[in-house]
Amino acid sequence: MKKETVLSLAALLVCTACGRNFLDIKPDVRLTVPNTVQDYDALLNHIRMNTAASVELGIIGSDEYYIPDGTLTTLSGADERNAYIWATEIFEGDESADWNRAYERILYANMALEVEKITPADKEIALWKNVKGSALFFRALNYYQLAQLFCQIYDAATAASVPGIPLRLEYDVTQRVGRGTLAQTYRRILDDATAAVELLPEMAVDKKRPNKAAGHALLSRIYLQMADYGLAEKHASLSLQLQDDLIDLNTLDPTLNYPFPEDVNQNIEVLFDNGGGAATIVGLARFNADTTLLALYSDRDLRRDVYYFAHTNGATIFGGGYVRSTRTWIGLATDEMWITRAECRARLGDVQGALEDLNHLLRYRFRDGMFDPIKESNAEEVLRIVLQERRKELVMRGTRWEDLRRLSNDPRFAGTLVRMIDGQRYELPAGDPRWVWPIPDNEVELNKLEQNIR
Amino acid sequence: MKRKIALAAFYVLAWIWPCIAQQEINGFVYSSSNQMPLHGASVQLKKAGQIRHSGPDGGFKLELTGNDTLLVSFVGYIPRYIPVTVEPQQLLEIYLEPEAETLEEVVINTGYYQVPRERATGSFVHVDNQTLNRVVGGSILQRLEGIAPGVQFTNAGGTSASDIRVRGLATIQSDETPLIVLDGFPYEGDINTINPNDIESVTVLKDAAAASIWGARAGNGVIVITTKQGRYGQKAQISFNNNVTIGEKPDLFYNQNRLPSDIVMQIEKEKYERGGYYNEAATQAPFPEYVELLIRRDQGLISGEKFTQQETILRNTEVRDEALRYLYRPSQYRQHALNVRGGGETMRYAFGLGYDRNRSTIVGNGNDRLNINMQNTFKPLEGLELSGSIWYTSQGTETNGLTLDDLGSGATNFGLSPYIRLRDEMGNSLPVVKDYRMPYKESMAAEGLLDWQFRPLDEITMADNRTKGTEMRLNGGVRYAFLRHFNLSADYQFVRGESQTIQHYTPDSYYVRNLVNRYTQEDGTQVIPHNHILYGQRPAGQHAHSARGQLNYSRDFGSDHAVALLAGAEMRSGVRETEPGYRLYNYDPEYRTGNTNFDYVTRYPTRPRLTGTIPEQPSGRDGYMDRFLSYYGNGSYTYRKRYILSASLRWDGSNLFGVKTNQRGTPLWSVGGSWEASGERFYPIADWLPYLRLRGTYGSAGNVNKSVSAYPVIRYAMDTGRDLQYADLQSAGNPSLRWEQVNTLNMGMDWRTMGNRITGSIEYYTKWAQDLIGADYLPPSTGIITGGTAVATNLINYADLQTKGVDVQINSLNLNGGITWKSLLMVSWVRNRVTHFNTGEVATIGNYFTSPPPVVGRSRDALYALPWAGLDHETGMPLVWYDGALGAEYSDYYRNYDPADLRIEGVRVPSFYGSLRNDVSWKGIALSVLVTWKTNYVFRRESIYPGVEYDGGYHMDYFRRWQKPGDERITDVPAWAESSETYRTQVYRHSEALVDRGDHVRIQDVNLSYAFPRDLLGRLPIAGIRLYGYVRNVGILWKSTQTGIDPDYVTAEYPAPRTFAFGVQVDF
Repeated sequence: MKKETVLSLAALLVCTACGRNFLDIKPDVRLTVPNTVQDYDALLNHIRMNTAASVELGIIGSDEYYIPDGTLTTLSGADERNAYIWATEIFEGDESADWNRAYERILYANMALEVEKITPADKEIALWKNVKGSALFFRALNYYQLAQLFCQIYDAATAASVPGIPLRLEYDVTQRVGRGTLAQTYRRILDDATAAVELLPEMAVDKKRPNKAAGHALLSRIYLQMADYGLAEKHASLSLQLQDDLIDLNTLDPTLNYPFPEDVNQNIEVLFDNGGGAATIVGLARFNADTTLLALYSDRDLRRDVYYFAHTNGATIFGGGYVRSTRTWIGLATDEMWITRAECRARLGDVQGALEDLNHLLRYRFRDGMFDPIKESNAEEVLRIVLQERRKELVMRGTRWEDLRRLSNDPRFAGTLVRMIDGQRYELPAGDPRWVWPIPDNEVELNKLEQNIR
Repeated sequence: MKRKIALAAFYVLAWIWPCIAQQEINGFVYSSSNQMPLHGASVQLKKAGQIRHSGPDGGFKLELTGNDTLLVSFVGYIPRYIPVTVEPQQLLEIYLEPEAETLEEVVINTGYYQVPRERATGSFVHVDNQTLNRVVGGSILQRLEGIAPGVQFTNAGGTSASDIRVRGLATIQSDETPLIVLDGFPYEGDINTINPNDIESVTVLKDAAAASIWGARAGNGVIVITTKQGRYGQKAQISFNNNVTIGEKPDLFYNQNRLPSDIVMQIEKEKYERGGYYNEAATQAPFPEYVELLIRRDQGLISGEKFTQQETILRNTEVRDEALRYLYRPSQYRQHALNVRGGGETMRYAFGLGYDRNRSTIVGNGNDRLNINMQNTFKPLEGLELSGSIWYTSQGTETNGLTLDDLGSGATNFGLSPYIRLRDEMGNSLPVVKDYRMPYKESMAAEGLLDWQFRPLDEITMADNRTKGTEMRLNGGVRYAFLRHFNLSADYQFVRGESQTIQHYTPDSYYVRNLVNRYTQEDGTQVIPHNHILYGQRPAGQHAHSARGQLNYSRDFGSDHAVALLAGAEMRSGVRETEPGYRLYNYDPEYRTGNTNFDYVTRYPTRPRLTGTIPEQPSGRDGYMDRFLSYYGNGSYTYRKRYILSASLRWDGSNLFGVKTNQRGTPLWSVGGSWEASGERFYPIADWLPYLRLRGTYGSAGNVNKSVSAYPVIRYAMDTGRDLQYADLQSAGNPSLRWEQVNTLNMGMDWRTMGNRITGSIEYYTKWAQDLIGADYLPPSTGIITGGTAVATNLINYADLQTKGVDVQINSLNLNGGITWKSLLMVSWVRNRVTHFNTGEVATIGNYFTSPPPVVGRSRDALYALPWAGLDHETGMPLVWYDGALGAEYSDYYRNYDPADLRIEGVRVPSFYGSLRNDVSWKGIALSVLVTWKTNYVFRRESIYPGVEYDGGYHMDYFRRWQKPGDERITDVPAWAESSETYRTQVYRHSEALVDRGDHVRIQDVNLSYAFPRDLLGRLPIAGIRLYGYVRNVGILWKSTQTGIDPDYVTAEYPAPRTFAFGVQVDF
């Protein structure tokens, strides 16, 4: 009996000896728990960081296009149908792609910011800075885009008393984060973008990853929205110092539907490549360029031919995006910096500087030898011209909604948006609460957030 | 209490008393059929009440105090009464005659050990070979349908383990699939590779005591499959089985989500005339054929006369008739199997050969399978046994056919047109609308491009899509018995399987013509050569090593005590890999030359728009590894054969990723006991209920969810466009992750009446599934979004689920003479209830209809609906209660509806179900009919919603629509509307008006066979010939729903067609 017991124990011991290491193998060779600089870098290469940017509601609600009678009710997406006519209710219980995708990118950025916990080796320092800078840039950009859709128009006087958006700064999904104030939202955006600029490289692996010039361009855009024209001008200049190239539209083939270079990386104006979504309402079947906008282009202006083409159904389609498809391109580019700086200089009283910037840009936009530089001494008139050129230059970039919002605060430029469809007239006057889109229902319910009043 | 003590005292005295004047009698009990000793026969002195059991040698010993009668009985044998006197006498030799209807001793195989059913405390279902063979054809799992209590097919006609629920639900989000064990090791390959003719028996392990030996993956039950083995000293048995199964053509008119041609044409015409629906687009998104016809008429391209003629043809065409004529056929399944087995004194063997050929009901589809296996076991020394077996399967599948769905346009704006024709009057194959507009395709052909039409009937003849797969399984084992009571065994299994799909496209195939045309440049150059393309999809392979060492100990201490113990360890490592495939352009099938050397980077303009690169080689390479390590022990103690205690303990570990090391493993255990009441002397009802046993078990098993992780997990991939590595964030991590655990309590009773006329068992069980992983609802601002990459993050251990049920099985022998009539009744009742969850409540009711969240106190299978208030008398639109009045505020009503007020219509899975099988035999003729029923459940059906036909939503309820005031009394289908409205649709679609009871009774199958009488075969070297016929899916006898819906096939295109099989089995 004793012998038997010893034998069985021995047999069991032999079996237990083989253990631990056997289970340490990864179940999927491509899986890993991120813990190196390379891992965090790879996260930021995800195509979702550069596609379906959260500007869709702004694009749908802006005055850059119209759709023909009979094509609204056949849209399947409730948000598109409702946003076009600025209805009170937008999502009808559906989720919001703008909201969702921005926060997913913010999760990626927050995850990548775990890189801060790594003390990089010497040869890793450059990549470490790049990853941290890029992550901050992406987080700032997405919070900025969300604020343009779901927060009130920035006004320094009231920002501390109106709600912002939930600011998640860590990847831990168990944290509950409320709306905070608009001032906190902009403070965070500025902090992230400012820190990013210091860390970003002058040259990134490609244009889907931000470089220093893109960082300054983002800061310039944020300050412009905050009506801080001095800092907006400063960062536009810093961006242009690093990259100020413009494409001479005379070198493009205007007979092509989409004349800009196939490869965005070859486009010398592009600072940061970012794609919009593919909203059906601005697709080829419905899109018609806004006639007021089309009428603004002079015959000598090449943008009319390069930006637009005629569809076989008779509609005028926008084909001037820096991506060769019907999708909108909403990245950062040098032309925006030139026109932003011109506006800032005009607002700051530097009429000469403003005109220099504007004329420099337009020289690349007009037919060879047909451009007469604009001469004007009245600062307000210059500002008016610059804003009109801004509208003509930055078409379907997602910036029009932002511009309409900030200008609606200014009685000189504020106007009422009007849609006519199926015999109905819809208006969006300045100061209307519908300039702020509602927060999607599922977020309000699950996170117990305060809804925007419309 | 006092009475009990007195009673005990009496028994003690009764024991002692005989010692005063006793006479010892000795004897042996043998079986009269083979003269073998019977171990465990009961020997009872009727007067004295004394009972003894015969030992392994059949011997027994009794003390006699006076003249008495000896009752000798043994299961399956006719009891004998033998008078005995106190005079000294010689040794008694008692021979028992087997009963005509013997109850064979059922040996249950758990994969780790074998135990006679009588000694097992746990809950098992044993399906023997004869029962398995009732069913002709099909996969081995299909043969379990309706014959094993507690085993439920959630997907009627399902062939894989995931279609089966063993005793209800024990998980929410994780794998619900029961574990399949084949010859002692978990089987993860395709169960359809196994030839059912090679299977001896199937055992289903249902409770903790049965299943816990399989540990962390046994939470959903275990199905143990045992293959046919040879026996020592068995004469060679050769069996040849040949059968063919013919299936009816499918009933394409079953699905109600369609409308006849004239109605669809009317809708299309209306949409065309309204404008806005058929917008010309650069994508050349196709328009329906009839719309193209209307356009041609309006453009003056065809005459009015010609138009009317064409229109009439379309109106009189029904695509389902066309499909039935050209795309479907009666299915045909042929099965040939040869099995040989036998053994000598020191060796035994089994050999199996099977070939199956299936001609699918879809023209052009089919598959075949070849199985070969060989098993050998040797006894080179006494106590030592060596075994080795090899199993080989080769499978081929052709998928060249087209189904009704494949006739759709491939576009998002419209689906299948009901009026399309496949062949014209002249017998020419006709094109159907596909991918692009017809005029565009025609203009391109005029421009000199290849013909761009899709002709379904031509495609079927040209297609050559094959999947080939092989699987090899090697088993080896050593068993060594030593020191009398010990037995050491070591087993090893290696499985290797691979499969690849290869598609060969001829130059005339639509695939090649479409690709060539799309990449034909402005100047007419073809970027893609117009020639054969051979596309080899990424081949998938897997291999697994499993090894186990086990020490068994069993010993009887005297005649009262018996102990059986086993302990062992098991390792398992499985790898699944996918390798890069290939795409050979300019392929020459004759010389097998082809070219892969292309520029896959340059973007070429494509037609009708955009640009594209040449479709590249499928280049990804993946690898997945599963590892399991387990230690286990199991023991049982039997006292006087009546009292059994059993216990098991197991530790399981796996390479779950991103899990903290101490969470990789989990200890699981079980205890059980059984009491054979009929073995007691005081058992009062031995006359009519000679056998009664009570048993109970409690224990735990687990479940693994591989998609969850405690740490953030990323997955690398290649962005070929940017030539950069990127990473998907698969999970943001869940630090509080635990394993799922299922605790089960099982109580059972087994009985047999006198003469084994009625035998049966009843079992009651409760399963407490704890720490179940489920999707939590997280606010999207966490970054965990619908359709996001890190969706697994919201999987947390949050829910507890309780499942209760009763399984009853009753066998009765109704007639036993010239005609034998046996009935087998199985009844199962199962119910589950969510007992705990801690996620925030979801306020939007939409979720409750599509994927209902768990709600405490309710069934996980609950089906929710909105109340139905009927249709408005004036408008025929749905009425809703809002603000205290009936009205049409659909949006406000729906969006503000409190989920707590939703109606629970019932559960989606039958909670009371069972079967009744009657077997009648007379001489060699045997008839067996299986009737199954499923009750206590509901299903939601579709209908037509106002205006939805303009979005392409069709349903035959179109004809039951409200037309005029008063119709609301006879129909619930709302009136027509110009366009659909989301909320108006929802309030009807998810209302109780569209929920029906699923209760039904059906004849599942009928088997009729005839075995030639022995004498008829004369001196032929044949042991037996059996002819058999078999009908499956015979039909529904009764159903609760008034609609034409078969509750087992609510959303299916068609229910499983009836099949007829005929076959012959010859034994040599």
